[in-house]
Amino acid sequence: MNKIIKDTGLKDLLIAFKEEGIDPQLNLKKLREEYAVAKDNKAPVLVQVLMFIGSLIAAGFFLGFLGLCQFFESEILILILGVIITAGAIAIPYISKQNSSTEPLSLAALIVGSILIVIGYLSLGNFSTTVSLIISLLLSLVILFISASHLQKITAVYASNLSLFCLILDAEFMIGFNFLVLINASVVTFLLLKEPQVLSSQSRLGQWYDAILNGCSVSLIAVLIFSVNNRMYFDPQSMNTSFWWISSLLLIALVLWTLYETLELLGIKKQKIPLLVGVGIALMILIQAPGIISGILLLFLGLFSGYRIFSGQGILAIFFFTLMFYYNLNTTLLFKSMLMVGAGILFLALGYGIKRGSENQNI
Amino acid sequence: MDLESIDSHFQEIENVENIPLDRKVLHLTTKQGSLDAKDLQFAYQKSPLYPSRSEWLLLAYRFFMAAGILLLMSGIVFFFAYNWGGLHKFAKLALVQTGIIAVASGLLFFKPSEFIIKLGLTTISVLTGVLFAVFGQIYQTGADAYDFFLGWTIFITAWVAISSFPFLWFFYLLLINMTITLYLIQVDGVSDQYTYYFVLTLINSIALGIWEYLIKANRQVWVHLLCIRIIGMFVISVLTVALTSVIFDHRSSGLSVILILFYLFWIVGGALYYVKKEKDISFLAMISISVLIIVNFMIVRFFDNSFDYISMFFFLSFLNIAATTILVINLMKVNKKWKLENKKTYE
Repeated sequence: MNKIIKDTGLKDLLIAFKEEGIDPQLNLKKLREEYAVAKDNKAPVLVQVLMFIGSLIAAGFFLGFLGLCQFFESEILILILGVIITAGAIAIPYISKQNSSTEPLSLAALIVGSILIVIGYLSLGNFSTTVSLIISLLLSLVILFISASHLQKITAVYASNLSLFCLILDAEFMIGFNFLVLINASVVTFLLLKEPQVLSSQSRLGQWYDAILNGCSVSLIAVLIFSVNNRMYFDPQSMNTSFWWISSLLLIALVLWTLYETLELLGIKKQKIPLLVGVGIALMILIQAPGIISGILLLFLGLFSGYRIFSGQGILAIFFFTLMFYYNLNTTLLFKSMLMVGAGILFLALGYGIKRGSENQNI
Repeated sequence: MDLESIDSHFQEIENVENIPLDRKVLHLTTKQGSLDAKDLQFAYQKSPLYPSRSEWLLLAYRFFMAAGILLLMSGIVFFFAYNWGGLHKFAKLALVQTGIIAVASGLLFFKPSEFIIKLGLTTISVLTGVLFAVFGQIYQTGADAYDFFLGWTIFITAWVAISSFPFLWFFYLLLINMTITLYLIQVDGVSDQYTYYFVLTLINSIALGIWEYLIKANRQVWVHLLCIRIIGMFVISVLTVALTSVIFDHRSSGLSVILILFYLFWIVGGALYYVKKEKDISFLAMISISVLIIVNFMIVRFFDNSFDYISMFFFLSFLNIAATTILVINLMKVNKKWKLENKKTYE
């Protein structure tokens, strides 16, 4: 089952469909056209970072220029210009057919337009931080759904997470961070584990996949960094950190679900229960370190779905949060060391069990 | 099943290019076809995206072993950081030494797999540092942190050399950086920030050179690629920060001139090396980001008396868009050219 053919191509897939008696009713002409466009415009990750940084700097200077021109004294003008620039920013990728050379301009325009809309609204006398954050959140979600640009979609995901983060801080509803962790982790897990089911029901969702997956995975790690172990922003005595077990429990459930789906996919039946129980116990020992559990989740998801970026993020997150666990104030170093040693021994036992099982052909 | 549609469909298959079946192609197949969940699941299982049973078992085994070692080592380090006063000093030393001897004996006598040997050597390397920390803690030797890191670095050199494990090499490089930085702070008492920038970038540039040129790291192995890129990113980031300090510093010194020359050497030399030899678009993108930032700062610094801020900000906003667009277009062209060359070489 599941034999990997590293050089499997579309032709091989169509032949396999024929052998199974499946007629995909594929519009090959349109597929070729869309594939050619996607291939030409696919930018490596660091080139996308270049686009993002360039756009951010340009937007910053342009907003500075507007500020120095005393443009911000006219509230209605700010709002109107913001709406026009944002609409233009969204239109550019559609007109250029998502050409990567227009990404810097469209992203810079989006940043400028969105900020002007929020400032314009605030300038009309509505000084509430909460309302401005809600507007930012709604604007981000709208842009996520209507934008054609990959970078704009990712930026919209980051902006919505940032808005939610700030809303939770503003409301001092600290338990809300757990729900933000849950939202990001659940979206990522569900979209990868149920990818065929999601896409078969809504075939056009493919264009949002990469942006949402990348945006949510980075946001998950960022939320955990800036809300757990962050003594700069939170007074440890006023913030009730004892609710962090909620994030851990939710993440453990998602890790076990991922592992279950992987074992089902690979047809591993005999060792399924021991593996799930062993991993569950090891993760429960790490309940005070949701960051480490999130790294394990991303790694397992990356291994399941061939999404190598997740595997890399998972590995880096595990290292980083293991280091950060040292500064966790919830418990003593002695207890932490016992938890780590316990979980470490369990993981080693699981690894040894898998090796023995593979050698004895039990798995 | 309608045989006519399958047959006519099959005629078309002969003319289909064998586009590599990645996630994008699967998404397009879904969009331009009509597959139900079961058929799409079949397509995903036929693709290289999902691992095979043996591949997943190997990866899971490596993950559990590596994570187990990491957590175990962290637990041990935390335990000694707890500074448990109830334990006799000899017991503390004996515990760590027993750990080192036990792991080393296990590697020698049980002849485990190559991966376990590498993990074992990494464990011994970490425990060596723990041993020195405990020794210093017990006997209050008064040694600087520099002495601690120097000893740690020297004593694990042999294991690092034989391990052939990129993660351990990376850890070793971190120790070297810590040792030299602490030497400058605690022994030499250097206060000039330019010295730190220069030394850090020089050490890591040499390390990168050794990794790329002498070790000839296999870029097909993702671990080598990840480590090389992290080192490169660190060097370029520090050089960018250094140049920014030089630009806005009204004092000039010999070291600031050296930093400028070193930056130019890195930018030009690095660009040539990664275009001609390694063909790595990530390094070119990092260099482009650095140049973009430095040019912005240079314009702000050197033309602030020639233009008013309104004109300068307006000019810079459009300059950045134009510069980013030109850089992106050229990087994408180069990337496309390299991919075609790789494809031809493979065929």
